[in-house]
Amino acid sequence: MSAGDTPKWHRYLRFWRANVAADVDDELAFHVDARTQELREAGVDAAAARARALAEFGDVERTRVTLRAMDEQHLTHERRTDIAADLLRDVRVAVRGLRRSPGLVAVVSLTFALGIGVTTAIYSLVDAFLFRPLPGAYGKELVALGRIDAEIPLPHVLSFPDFRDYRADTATFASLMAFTSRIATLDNGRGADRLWIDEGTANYFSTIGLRPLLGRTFLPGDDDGVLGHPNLVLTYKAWQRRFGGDSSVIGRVVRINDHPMTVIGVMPAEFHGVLPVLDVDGVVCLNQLWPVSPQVLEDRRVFGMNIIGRLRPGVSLDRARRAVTLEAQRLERAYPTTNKNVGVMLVDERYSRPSISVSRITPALAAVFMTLVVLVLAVACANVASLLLSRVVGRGRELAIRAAIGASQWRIVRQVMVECALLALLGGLGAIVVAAVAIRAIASIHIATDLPIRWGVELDGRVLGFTAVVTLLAGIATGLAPGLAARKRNLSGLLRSSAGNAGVRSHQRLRSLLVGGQIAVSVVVLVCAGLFVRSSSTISRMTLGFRTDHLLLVSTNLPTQRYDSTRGRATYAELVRRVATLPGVRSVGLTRFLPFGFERDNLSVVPIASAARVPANGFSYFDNVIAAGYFDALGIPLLEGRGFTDRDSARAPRVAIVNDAFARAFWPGQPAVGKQFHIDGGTGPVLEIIGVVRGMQDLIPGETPKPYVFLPFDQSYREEMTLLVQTSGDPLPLASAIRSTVASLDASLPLFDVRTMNEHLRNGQGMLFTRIGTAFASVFGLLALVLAMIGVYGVVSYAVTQRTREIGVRVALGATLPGILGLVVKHGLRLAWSGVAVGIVVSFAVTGVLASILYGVKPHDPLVLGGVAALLTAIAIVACFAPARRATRIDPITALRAE
Amino acid sequence: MAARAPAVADESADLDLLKGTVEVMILKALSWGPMHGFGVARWIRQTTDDVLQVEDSALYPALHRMEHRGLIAADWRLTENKRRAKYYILTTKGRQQLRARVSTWDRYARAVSQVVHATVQPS
Repeated sequence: MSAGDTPKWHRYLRFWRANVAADVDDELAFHVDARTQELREAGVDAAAARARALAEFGDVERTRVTLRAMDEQHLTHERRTDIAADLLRDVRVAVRGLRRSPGLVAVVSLTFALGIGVTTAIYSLVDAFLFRPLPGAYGKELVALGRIDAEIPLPHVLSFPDFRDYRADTATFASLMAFTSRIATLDNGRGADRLWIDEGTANYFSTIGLRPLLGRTFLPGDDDGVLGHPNLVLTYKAWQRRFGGDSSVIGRVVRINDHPMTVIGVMPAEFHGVLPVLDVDGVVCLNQLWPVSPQVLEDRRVFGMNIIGRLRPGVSLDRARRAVTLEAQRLERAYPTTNKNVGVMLVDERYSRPSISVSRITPALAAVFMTLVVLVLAVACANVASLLLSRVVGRGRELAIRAAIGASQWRIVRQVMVECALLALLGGLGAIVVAAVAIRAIASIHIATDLPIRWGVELDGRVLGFTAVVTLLAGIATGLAPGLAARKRNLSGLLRSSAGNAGVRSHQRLRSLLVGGQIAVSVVVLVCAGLFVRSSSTISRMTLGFRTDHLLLVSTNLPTQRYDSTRGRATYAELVRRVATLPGVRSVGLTRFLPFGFERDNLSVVPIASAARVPANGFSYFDNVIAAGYFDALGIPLLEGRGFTDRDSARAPRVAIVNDAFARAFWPGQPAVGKQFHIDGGTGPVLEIIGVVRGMQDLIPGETPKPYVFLPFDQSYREEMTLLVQTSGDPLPLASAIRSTVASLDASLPLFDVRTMNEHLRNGQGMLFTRIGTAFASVFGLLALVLAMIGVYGVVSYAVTQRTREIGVRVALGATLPGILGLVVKHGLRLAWSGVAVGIVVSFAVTGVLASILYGVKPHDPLVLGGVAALLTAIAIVACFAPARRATRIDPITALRAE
Repeated sequence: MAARAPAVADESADLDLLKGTVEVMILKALSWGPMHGFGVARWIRQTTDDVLQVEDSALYPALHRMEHRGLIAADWRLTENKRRAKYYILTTKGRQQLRARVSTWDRYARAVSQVVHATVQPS
């Protein structure tokens, strides 16, 4: 035998190496036995022979241990190098194979890149909203408390006295803090910076368990006493941007709202404020930021506190819910005038984002998005699997030969799967690029407010980890079907078949199933997209009850420290007068709030001399403070009485204008002008109604207008107002003229949120979800459509190749051109329609969830369903075009001779 | 020294030399044909007339080490007495190694011999 026959001894090696320990034992035992035997043959007696053999050997035990260790180590090393070498060989073969089909590589990696990239982008968004905990040691265990009452249909913020009562329940809460966000002005030496400040209880940071980067945070009691602890903790961003990252800022006294505050700390970069979508500049304690209003903190009718807390260890969310419900009932009994019918809801803090008021919608919306994502990803994977499957079938002969010359089944499967993994990797890299672009697009969505909104979407380690996992899963998922196909193939049969692809019918069926499935998924996604688009267009066509065109909105804020109410009123009046004289301006109004804005205020109203039954604490309605040509600019008709005039000054009797819904509610069938009502409860000031206007929609598009109260600016001064400018032409070019008009009054006034009414509405409350939904569902829909088209093309094109001979025979037997075309297109349509049928059934289940965020369109809108079906039919026909053309060109002679 | 034996240089020079010597003897033993560990030990004992005492407990680690390095291969076979024993076989690499070692050894031995039997006095 040849001793140098490496492969052979390798095989033997594998064989015996399996049990290292036993082999070492056997080898050593044999040696001792053999030597004993030899000595006995030389005449030594049995016992002595064995003893001598052992003595000659030396330390048997030590040798045994040494040999075992050596062999084990070698075996492990050998295995590792084997695997690495095999993998390397597989990769090399795969790269060589893929290089030969660049078209396939391009389509597959593009499909992966789109599917995984968009998935990553959406995940990053959902992650920012729902999954990523707040920074801080207790980020994951925080809960949020919201108020529920009969007047406002969504959960909202609490009053401070209520908060104090809930906080007293220390058996339930380990820590409970209240905060609210405020705007303040920082004197930067040259002018004024607008700051967003969280104003909270002293346990603001200790509740979330966050330590400062520099300096300290608040001490217990820092929120006691008015202006007693004027301390400011900066966020990292504000520290960098406004103080140049100077670490000597600790201890520095800065002027905020014209009052001194001491910077005591800087928070780490991951802290942006407790509300994850808001980028605040700093945090102060309650009662420390001038102007202070300690009486507000004692008023149960004023709710403005966001409540975040942490449960005592061992207290379940359910138990805590029962506890706060009991407390709410106690408060109802103790304070019937303010807390009647007021309940609370306790949720995981992550479900209270971006604000407690949407806590019921956010998880549903996120679920819809994630479902869309998974569906699109599934389509992408199915498509890739289908393409690769056809590749495996196409390579049937090659694989059969490889199997025949000794490649094991596992090896062939592995080869195919390595190919898929490589493609997935390529796609994953592309996906990062797609995701980066998509994330930038998401982050640029503007919301109708001057809040420093932070989407929080970023391509960080968490998100990239997600991409990696998804890529891995996608690679395995898509590799499985072709891999199994390669294994299952009747390889010997293939070799015999001259065409090299016998027995492909079952795979063709599998592919058809995959493509049918992805058409079904596309239908679901497109139906969602269609519903969103219909919903948006309904909103845009909806008559909201006010003019939306030719309106420019500009907001400003007169700093309280320099403008008292008298000077403020005069300044605004002068501003309105000057803007009204600008060329191109038709009318100018002033308003505190805008319909569909994110801010609003409510008023408790007790009507006088009304037949309506009035609860003790009155009715709570939204109100607004307006001046000048507000109704003119918005085109809201006056139904009765008059508008506000100079007569309704600060010293004159207090007046109000109400909408028709208000008038109807209290004085049906009577003129409301001249009627009176109390505000701020039954003992508050009395207002006389001087006019009635037509109601407009304010909160939810399509709603029936709710009772609404307008107060004259002269009698209810507000620092922050929005100019409402009706223009004769395009409103935006007027912005610079208005800017200089404001500057001519006071150059240091902050001017913000310059936009048209249409822009405001597009980004406004009520429209935003629909708008985001439309954007995402449309992108997904388009993606799904492209993928479905590739899928249909793949299957039909492959079928034409398979049936070349059959088609040749048909042509030879006299089939006409339209007949052949019909044959191919019918195949595509059969696929498309079965997918559409399944998809429509599935979409009924999915779109039910959407009902709550759709306007003016039913989840099973026939137009949308019909449109989607027609679209997919058209797409299927287009996808059949190229294969059909090829089929008509089949020459019967060549086709038959090829066999 | 011009050509050093390619021994594992992990311990003292003495041990190196010893290891190298053991390996050369094993290679030589196996050049006669497949042999089990006991056979190798017996051949060395008989050939050196018990002058070189290679302890069995040192022989086996050397055999395994050489096997891992691919100088020899192993194979379980039956002896004439129908007992299963691990036979070692010289590989191509081992054969080359043996040739190299033998020539190195010859030069080394000649050099040492020339020194110890030198007749020329240092000038």
